Amino acid sequence: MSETRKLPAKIWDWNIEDLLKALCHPTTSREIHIDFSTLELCSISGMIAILCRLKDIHRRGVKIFFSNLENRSDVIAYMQRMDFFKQCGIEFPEEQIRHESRQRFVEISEIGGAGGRTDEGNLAIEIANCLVPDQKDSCEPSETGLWDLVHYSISELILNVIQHSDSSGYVGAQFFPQKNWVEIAIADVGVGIRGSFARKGSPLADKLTDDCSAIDLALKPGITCTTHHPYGESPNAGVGLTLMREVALASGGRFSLVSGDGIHESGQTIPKLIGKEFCGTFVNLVVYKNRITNFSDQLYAIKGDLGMLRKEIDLGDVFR
Amino acid sequence: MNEVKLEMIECVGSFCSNGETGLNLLVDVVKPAIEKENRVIFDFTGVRSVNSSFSNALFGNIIKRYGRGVLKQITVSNANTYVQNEVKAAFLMKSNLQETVPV
Repeated sequence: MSETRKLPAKIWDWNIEDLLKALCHPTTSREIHIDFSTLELCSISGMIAILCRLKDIHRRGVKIFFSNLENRSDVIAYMQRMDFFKQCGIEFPEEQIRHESRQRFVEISEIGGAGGRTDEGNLAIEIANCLVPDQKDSCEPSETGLWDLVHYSISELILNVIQHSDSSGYVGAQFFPQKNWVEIAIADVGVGIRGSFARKGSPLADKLTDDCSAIDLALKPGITCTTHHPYGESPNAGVGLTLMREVALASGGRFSLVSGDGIHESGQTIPKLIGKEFCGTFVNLVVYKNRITNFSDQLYAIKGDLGMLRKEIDLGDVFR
Repeated sequence: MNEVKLEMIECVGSFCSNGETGLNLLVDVVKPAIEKENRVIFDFTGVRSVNSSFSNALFGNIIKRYGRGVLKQITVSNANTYVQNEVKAAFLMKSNLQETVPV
């Protein structure tokens, strides 16, 4: 028995729900055909989400076929240039000349798990250097705002996948010069946020009755799953996702997060995928370049605005 | 008070992003030095940036474990404004200051 899943015409981060509704519902079929016939546009966030869904479907023993690729030459060429099909294990001749990715996009990379990259620091530098090459050599934070933001975000989000998902995932990024925004997408096929609280033995896990409450909890500053470490200390402070959201919103951009049946976007978490859950966690960040000046000052201010800091403590003698 | 100086670029490189790396440095080097009542000098010459994961794992856990009094044993030198902001935030983070684990 086989079934067909048709991709929506246009896939952006703001309508990722349409894609996930098409791809996430459970199947009893042994074959799934992914129909590209109406696809006109697919953003990096769409490609990352599709890859994770296909990986999850494939590991359940379902065969996957792509159909109607031949009629969609522009969007297919773009997806091919982003290494989407390569990550699917499909290689076919490229009709276009591979142009330079510098300052425009970063090909999709697999992260974590057995076959993916785990050197989050190096990968973050490579992506930041590719997207923002003109800022990479400066030592002045005021001149490297976007580079610093990309580097910081990619490394924090990859660490999240490695520490929390117990699985692999994908990362990709794109700069849109006309819109002047940078989009960073990362997702995994792991246990999801709720599953991570449970698997790490967090005392908060028992209070989580659904995916939306787990997402909301993970977005609260100071909440982390990784509270239990052999030495008693935690390797993170549970601020990564919170800060990513605030950084994006402070730039006038967007932040979306999907885990299980919950979708967080525009400040709300809603169970939009009931019965069609996304196995793992998907995060997408859109940041407007012009609003990012001195990233570290902006990040420090965000932490203060969130009430995370006790500024009355004098650190005067510590720094010299 | 004796001094233990850590050249951070040698310990963790020019971009410190990994919390596990910070935690290992804390456990292997910093904790023993503090408990011997040494002054620990973190020299950030050549380090361009640190992430919140790294700074919280290292500096946040220092103050969480030993309390504010430990600050008189800590010196951060040659840090650019990016690194200073991250280290400051780790020291001042409420979740790190709320509970002090008895040594």
